[in-house]
Amino acid sequence: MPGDTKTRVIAALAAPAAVAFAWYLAAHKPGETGLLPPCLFHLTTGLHCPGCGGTRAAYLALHGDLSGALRQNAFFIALMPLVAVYLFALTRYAATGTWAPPKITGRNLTVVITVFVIGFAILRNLPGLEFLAPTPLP
Amino acid sequence: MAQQQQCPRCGELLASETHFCTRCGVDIYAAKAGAPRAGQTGSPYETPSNERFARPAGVTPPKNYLIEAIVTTICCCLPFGIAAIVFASKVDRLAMQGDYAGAIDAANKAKMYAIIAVVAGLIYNVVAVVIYAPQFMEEFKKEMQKQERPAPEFTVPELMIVPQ
Repeated sequence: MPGDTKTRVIAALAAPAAVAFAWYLAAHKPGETGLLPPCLFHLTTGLHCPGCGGTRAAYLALHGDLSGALRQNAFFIALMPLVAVYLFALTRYAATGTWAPPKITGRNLTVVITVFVIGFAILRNLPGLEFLAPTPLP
Repeated sequence: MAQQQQCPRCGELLASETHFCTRCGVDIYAAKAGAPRAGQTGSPYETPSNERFARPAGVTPPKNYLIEAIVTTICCCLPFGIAAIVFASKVDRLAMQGDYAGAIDAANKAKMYAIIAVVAGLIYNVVAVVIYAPQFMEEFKKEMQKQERPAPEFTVPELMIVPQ
C-alpha cells in the first residue's frame, strides 16, 4: 500500500540533500572553512565519540584519499554503504510507496554490533590506542 | 521484585509483561480472554495442537531500529543514540524468547530515543550554524577579496617545498 504523500515527499528529499551536503563538504575543509559544526560531545567533554572524525573522513574520501579517511574514522566509512542503501530505500519509497529499509536482525548480531559501537567509543579514548582517534587534518 | 503472572495453560511463572508463555508458547492475553478450554485433561507438556495456542513460530520480530540508532549516535547526539542502540539490541533477543510485547516495547523505546537524538542533533547544528555564521561570512568576504586581487605571477605550491 502506498504511504501517505507527506512522508513520501520528505523521503524524496533525503537523497538529494545527502548529495548536496557531500558536494558542499567536498569544497570545504573541515576545521578550516565552511559551516561544519564540531561534535558537541567532543566540544564539551574533550573525548572522541564514535562519530568524531566522520566529517574529516568523508572529506578525505570525497577527495579520493581512502587510507586517510579510514585513519580518521574507519567505522564511519564502513557505515557509508549502509547509509547509501538506506537512501536508496527512501528514494524507492518516495517513488513507489514500498518501504523496505535495510535491516540488521538476529539475536547475536544485534548484541555484537552494540558492543562493537560502545567498545569503539571507549577504546579510541584510551592511551596507547590513539591510532583509533581522529587527528587534525594536515 | 518484578510482578509475575502464571501461564493460564501450563502454570509457568512469567514476568507480568510477557505476552507469550516462554514454556508452552501460549498467547496469554488470548487464553485469559477466552474461557478455559473444556476437557483440558492432557499433560501440560503436550504439543499445542490448536494453532491459536501454538508458539508464534515464524512471527517476524518487530523492526529493531538498530541502523537508525547507530547513525543517530555518530551523526546527531551520542547519549540518546547510545540509549537507542541498547534498546534496539534487545528487540530481536526478546522476540526470540517469545516476549513479543517486550520486543515491541524495546523497539518503540529505540525509535523514541533515535528521534530524540535526531531532534537534539538538529537543534545543536542549527544553533552552531547561527553562532558560526558571522565568522563564516568574514571568511567568505576574505575569499572574495582574494579572488578580486590579481593573481601573483608565479608561486611555488606549498606541497613542493621539500624540507631540507
